[in-house]
Amino acid sequence: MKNFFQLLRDYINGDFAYKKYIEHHQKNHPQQNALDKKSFLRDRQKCKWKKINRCC
Amino acid sequence: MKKDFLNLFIWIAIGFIGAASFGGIALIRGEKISSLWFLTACVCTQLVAYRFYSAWIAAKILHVDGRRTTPANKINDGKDFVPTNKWIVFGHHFAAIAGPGPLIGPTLAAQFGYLPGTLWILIGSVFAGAVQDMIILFSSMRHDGKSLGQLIKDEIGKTAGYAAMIGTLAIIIILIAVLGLVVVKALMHSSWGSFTVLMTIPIAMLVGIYLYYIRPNGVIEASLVGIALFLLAVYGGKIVHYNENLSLIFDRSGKFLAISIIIYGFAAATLPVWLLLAPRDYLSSFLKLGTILLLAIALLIFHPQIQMPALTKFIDGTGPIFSGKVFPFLFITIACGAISGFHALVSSGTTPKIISDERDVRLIGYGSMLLEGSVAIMAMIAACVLEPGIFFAINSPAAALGADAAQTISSWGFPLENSTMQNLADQMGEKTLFSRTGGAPSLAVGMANIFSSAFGSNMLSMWYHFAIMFEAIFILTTLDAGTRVARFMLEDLLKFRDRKLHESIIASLFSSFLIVGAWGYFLYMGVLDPNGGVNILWPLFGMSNQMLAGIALTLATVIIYKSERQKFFFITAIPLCFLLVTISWAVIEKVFSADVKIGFLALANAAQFKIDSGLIANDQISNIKRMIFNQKLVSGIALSFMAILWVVVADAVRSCVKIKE
Repeated sequence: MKNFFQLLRDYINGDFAYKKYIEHHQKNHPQQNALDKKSFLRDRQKCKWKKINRCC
Repeated sequence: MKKDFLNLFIWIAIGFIGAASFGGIALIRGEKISSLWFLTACVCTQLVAYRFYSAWIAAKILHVDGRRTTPANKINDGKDFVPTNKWIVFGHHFAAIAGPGPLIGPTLAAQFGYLPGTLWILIGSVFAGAVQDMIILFSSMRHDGKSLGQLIKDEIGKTAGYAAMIGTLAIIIILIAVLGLVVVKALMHSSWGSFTVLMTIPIAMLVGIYLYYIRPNGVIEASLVGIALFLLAVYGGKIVHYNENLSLIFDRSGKFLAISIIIYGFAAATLPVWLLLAPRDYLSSFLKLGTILLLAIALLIFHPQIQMPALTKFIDGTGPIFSGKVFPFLFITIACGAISGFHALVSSGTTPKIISDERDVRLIGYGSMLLEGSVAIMAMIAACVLEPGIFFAINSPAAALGADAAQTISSWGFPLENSTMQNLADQMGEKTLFSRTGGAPSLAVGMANIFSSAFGSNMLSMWYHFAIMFEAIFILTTLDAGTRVARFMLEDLLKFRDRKLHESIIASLFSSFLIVGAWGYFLYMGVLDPNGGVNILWPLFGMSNQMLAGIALTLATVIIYKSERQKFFFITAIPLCFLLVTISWAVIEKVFSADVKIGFLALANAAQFKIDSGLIANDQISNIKRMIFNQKLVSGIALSFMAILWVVVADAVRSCVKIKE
């Protein structure tokens, strides 16, 4: 249960997304530089609001 | 063996209690019933449906398989496709689908009494809405997270794909216009409400600046501070309301508010997302979940008596809030909460890309929609705990109430004194509560009553304005997000990318202007309408949403029909046929009915006749002419919604016949 709340917090804050991004990056493009947390989260927010993700 | 038996016993008991509550709601007459009946009927029906119907669909029709890799696991790009815990996906999906629709539709539909709306919400969500959401979510997931439009193009055909795309753009524009109208009607001549809602804009920006420059991952702390500031803004509104000079500044007409919202919408669509849209969305999501939870708790503690009768005489079509008989108009008034086509867009968006196990589609697709259905039931309860006289006084347009409003309403069989309404308005911190159409004020009065009774305090006016703020925030988030998405859709349609215009600021201002202009036109038209505008715009929105649901169900039917489980295609075909009949009936009646209260064209013809026979003063002629034009415009739009749906269905039949050959 404690783990779940931690996960929830990380999910809302964006830490979860960043962790997944870094994992993916290290596995697949280790030679390139990864984005830092701030730029990654800013980028992600920009993309989010180009799609339908709020409803009536 | 013993465990199986116990399990069976529990499910029989749940079924029995559910059936008994249903019977209670449907059959008890002449005495007031408790709102607990509604909650138990709702919870038991949904539990049984979830446990048996959704499981059956998942196993027998979709062949959900936990061993198959989902797109999140297969593609896992660290960005869009990220496997995520199922409860988090559930929360994400629910926050995306739950908007203001399920709060407003049931409130308006309560004019028929509590029974028709409640039955439609429960039956509709279980057999139509949740089925649609789950199957579209599943199909998108099996096709690597493709969007609804793409799926339609692939599975049905190009024509249907284009029809669906235009339909989607149209629904967003109508949705924003009607939601804007609800906010205008709620804030009109309310200095308290206008101040509070205005203050939420700088508060959201403050949160946005903090998140952008200081701590991008500080969402929770920033949102908590933001919500505390929102509450402070509600309190600040009280000071404004009781201060003579300040209250004059914030006491604004409908036209003024409509233009402000149009300017705001334009700004929100063109400003960077981090400044306004994103922080407002965080705040609104927390507020939304918190308030719904609070309402559920308050209903459980207080379980108020239902004051509204099961059926009112307005099922014959003479209702003051919106005109038309219970069939078909109930089914386009309550769309969200029973079946909402818009959900198909969300279900084929982000959600299918983050599911980590195929079996989760039941909880996420079917379960979220059931939860939205229970939100709609709570809105229905909040409307029906009001004295019917008060309910009709708040929601009926001034034109329907005449000079002596209390007398008119009493003559409908709902006794009401003018002094009751004045007292109520004083208690809520408003000038008047007569003809505050749109659904939001009546819901806020209902919620204020429930909250203050349950939590034993006398802060009615604070609760009322908290509820107004909550609804407005909700709506403005949808308005911002919708305008922006519509803008990108238009840019796609006009091929901005190919023309290298997607980076140009002027081009994006132009596309924003077109979108805001489109919904702004309808919003302003609604504000000018002497009957309150809701009678035009809400049915139009309901039709468009059901049209999209029809398109989504057509897709679901085609997918099932083309699979090996062909014989089960009726589970989506039956709701589809129902929607086809309802929408076509509603559109034809709304456009061609000879009754001026219902038919768009009848009203236009009647006005034209008045002009021709010289009954209208010269200075009024241009207004009336504009009204005639608008009636014809909305007729054309309603007819094209129907046409779009039939084109998609025809294309689907064609593609199914081709498979057979």
